[in-house]
Amino acid sequence: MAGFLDPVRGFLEVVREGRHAETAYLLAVTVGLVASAFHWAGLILGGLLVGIVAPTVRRSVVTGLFFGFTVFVAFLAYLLVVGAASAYVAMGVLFYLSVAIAVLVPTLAAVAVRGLTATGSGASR
Amino acid sequence: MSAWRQRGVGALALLLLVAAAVGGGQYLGLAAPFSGDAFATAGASGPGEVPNPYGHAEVTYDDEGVPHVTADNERALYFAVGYLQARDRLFQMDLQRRSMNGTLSEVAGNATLESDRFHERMGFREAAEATWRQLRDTDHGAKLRAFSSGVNRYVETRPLPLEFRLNDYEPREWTPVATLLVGQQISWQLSGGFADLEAATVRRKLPEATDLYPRQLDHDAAIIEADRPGQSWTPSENATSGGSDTAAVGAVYEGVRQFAGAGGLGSNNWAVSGDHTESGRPLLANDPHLLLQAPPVWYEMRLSAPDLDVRGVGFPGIPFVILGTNREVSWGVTNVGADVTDFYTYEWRDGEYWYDGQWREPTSETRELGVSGGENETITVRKTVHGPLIEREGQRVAVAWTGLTAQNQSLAIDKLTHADSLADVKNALRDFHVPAQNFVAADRDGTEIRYYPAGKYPVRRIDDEAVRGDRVFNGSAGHGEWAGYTPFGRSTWEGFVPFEAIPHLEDPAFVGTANQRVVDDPGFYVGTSRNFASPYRGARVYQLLEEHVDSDEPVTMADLKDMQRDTHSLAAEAFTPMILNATDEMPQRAAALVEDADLASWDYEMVPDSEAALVYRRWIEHYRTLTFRDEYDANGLDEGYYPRTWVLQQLPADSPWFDDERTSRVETRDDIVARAMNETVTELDREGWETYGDFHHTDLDHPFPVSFLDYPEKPIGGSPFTLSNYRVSGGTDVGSSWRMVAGPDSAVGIVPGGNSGRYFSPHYADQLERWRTGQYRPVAFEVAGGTDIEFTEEGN
Repeated sequence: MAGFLDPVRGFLEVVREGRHAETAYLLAVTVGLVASAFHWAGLILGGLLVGIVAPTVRRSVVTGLFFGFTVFVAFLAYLLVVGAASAYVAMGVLFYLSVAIAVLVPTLAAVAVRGLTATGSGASR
Repeated sequence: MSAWRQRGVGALALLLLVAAAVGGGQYLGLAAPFSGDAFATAGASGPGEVPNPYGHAEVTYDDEGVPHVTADNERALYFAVGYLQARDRLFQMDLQRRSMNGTLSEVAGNATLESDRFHERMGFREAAEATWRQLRDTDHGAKLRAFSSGVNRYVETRPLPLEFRLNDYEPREWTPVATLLVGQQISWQLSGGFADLEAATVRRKLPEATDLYPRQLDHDAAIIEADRPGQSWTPSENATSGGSDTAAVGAVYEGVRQFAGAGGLGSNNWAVSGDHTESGRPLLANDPHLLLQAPPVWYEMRLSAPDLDVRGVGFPGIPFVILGTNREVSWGVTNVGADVTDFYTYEWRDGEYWYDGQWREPTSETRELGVSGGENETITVRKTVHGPLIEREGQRVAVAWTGLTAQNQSLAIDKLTHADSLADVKNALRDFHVPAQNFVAADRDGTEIRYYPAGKYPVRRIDDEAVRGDRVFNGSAGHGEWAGYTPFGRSTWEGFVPFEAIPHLEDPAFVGTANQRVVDDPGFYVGTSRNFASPYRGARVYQLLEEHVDSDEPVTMADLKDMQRDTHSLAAEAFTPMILNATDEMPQRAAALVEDADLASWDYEMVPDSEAALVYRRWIEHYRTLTFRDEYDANGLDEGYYPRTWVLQQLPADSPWFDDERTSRVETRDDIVARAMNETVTELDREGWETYGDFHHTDLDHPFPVSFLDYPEKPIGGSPFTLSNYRVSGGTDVGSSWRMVAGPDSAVGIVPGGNSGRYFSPHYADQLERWRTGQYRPVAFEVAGGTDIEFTEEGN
């Protein structure tokens, strides 16, 4: 069994800490961002991707938050371009709810996937 | 952190995530950035090309969000209009339909159940269906069908507006009957009512108050007065005889009064012949005073097709421009206020009523009302030969309303938009049945103007004698019936005043209407003083028109704009001397307020920064209450029954109505004036109001109770009795819902808000501040910029 998972572990080590780690992270953010534009499940997908490439569980909190913040900023920028940003901010509860969704959903997804895939070697980090 | 602990943290996060997705999935779907339903219409301009089964059309939105639609034919045009109105106003359209259809509770729950019961029992939908049966095989019917198709095309292919997503429901298919129901709604608001029931209730409970509701208010500011140039009217109809009743209908009235057409609604329009204008051609102004809300009740459009080029406003849900101008004529309306609703009581026995020599059973049907979040309710809808039956606490009254039969006003408006001359206008108005409206029209290329209070005015008869309609009739005896009237079917003109016999003016020097009575003697019964406005606005219109015409300066569009912005209150001019004469009777602090507010030198301008306007406005509310409350309250009549302000003004100083029945002494007018001012001081101290604008501000809300959809509140001038009109009526704000001034070569206008009902649109509220501050913008036929939406012939 362990032998079967070795390639996966090897891949994860590369994308988490290897020389492709940054590329993997950027790719995860991009895929998540694009998916989020079409469905709220994209926030979860993005969270899972940035979480799985995070080197540690603690780090997954940061990457999840950062991804969520990126989605929010991108959405705000889009609304600025179409002239709807001030109306968005004025929506009160809906505005706050959208911010909370943007930030919390990817973060939970990132922590969930990173925590559940934790191994002994990475545990002390 | 150990691996197990990390996995525990991960499992906890997963648990929370699953809980959020399962338990809060609807919130994720609603508010997630980008994909959330709440933001679906943000920046969604939609496709630039839309298939149109009727032909080619192009749409260019101008800088104010007004669509300019040009089409190869009118069906293609109205398909495009349907699509655009759905795009910009779908929720409003659906809400109006639901209101008249008795289906509000399907989406709003128990709160609107009473409204649904009333509307279902009144049968507005059945009347709209009768109208559709009359129109469906005509060219006009084809336009209504095309409009419906356009609405449905939008609903089927584009994201629903925000309000549907917040309330989580989808609109049903739009139909021509839905369009006619929207027309029914405005007709009912303007001409439906229960004034006869109210009058009967007052006569029964407080008979000594009968004189407070005279047949005519004592003034000389009717729309038509013989001493004005070009204004005279010789009645050709037989006069009507009097009569009254004391029918026990108070319980019915109390049950339905909340659904009466809004009594506070009114409007202004006026026109000046080319003989008195700078250009030598006529000028026209119109500002209907309707419900002020977000988005506005009007939707502005410019519509162009072969033989048609018109610009103005219509109601969302109705394809046509209702008020506006085409290349040849311009027109505007105010409400006549005619009494076109009658009530009938019967002799009853074992559930049957006596009529025409026999006992009859009312028709009876059961209907199910859907209730969101509750159990559906089954109600029984009953009708007599006269119309729907309203029953409450053992009282039963049948209702006849000119709008509860097949009508043609949709066709009349369609014809009006095509008018090439004032003769065409007149011909179009022959089909305008309900609500009776004071049409003022101007020939843009000529010199003349016209005035027609178009509508169907029923003639009531008892034993072949024409009688007034301000009573509840004995239905069993066949009293007061309208010959030729068939509820929920097709009616004729037989029992109605012939079109040519309706008072009207052809080529007067000027004319102005502000919901005052049409003429002192129209020759038939139009209404009573309950139906017409106090004459303050009407008198002011004519005061200003006469000043302009009598001056050496010809009248300009700027003059007409100034009139629409006029905040001078003739009511304040009449009442303020009463205050100044009573200062000796006032407590020191009340007299000091009169002094501080400088009422003695006040110019009677109801402007936001005026302290005098604030003091007067609050004082007159207290004065009215203190005058009537003791007698009315004691007899179970609330302030909604109080008489017109003009009647209050006319009361002599020693009128018994000023005597407070609760005290041993006999009060006079001065005593009540003083007490009212004392209450005003207390109120201003309590509320912290210092100027009129502190109290008098806009409050234009969206029907959906989400605060961000409401317009911002700002101080505003005007009053119920000034031409610049703003008033709170029954908890809702009413005022100038569209201001337009039209000349021969140009027109200007403004709406209170914006042309788009899409919350994220830059045109959601972009006209609000300009409207509040009395500014205008061009209402032009030309438009710059490229095509925003192209409707291509389907199949091409």
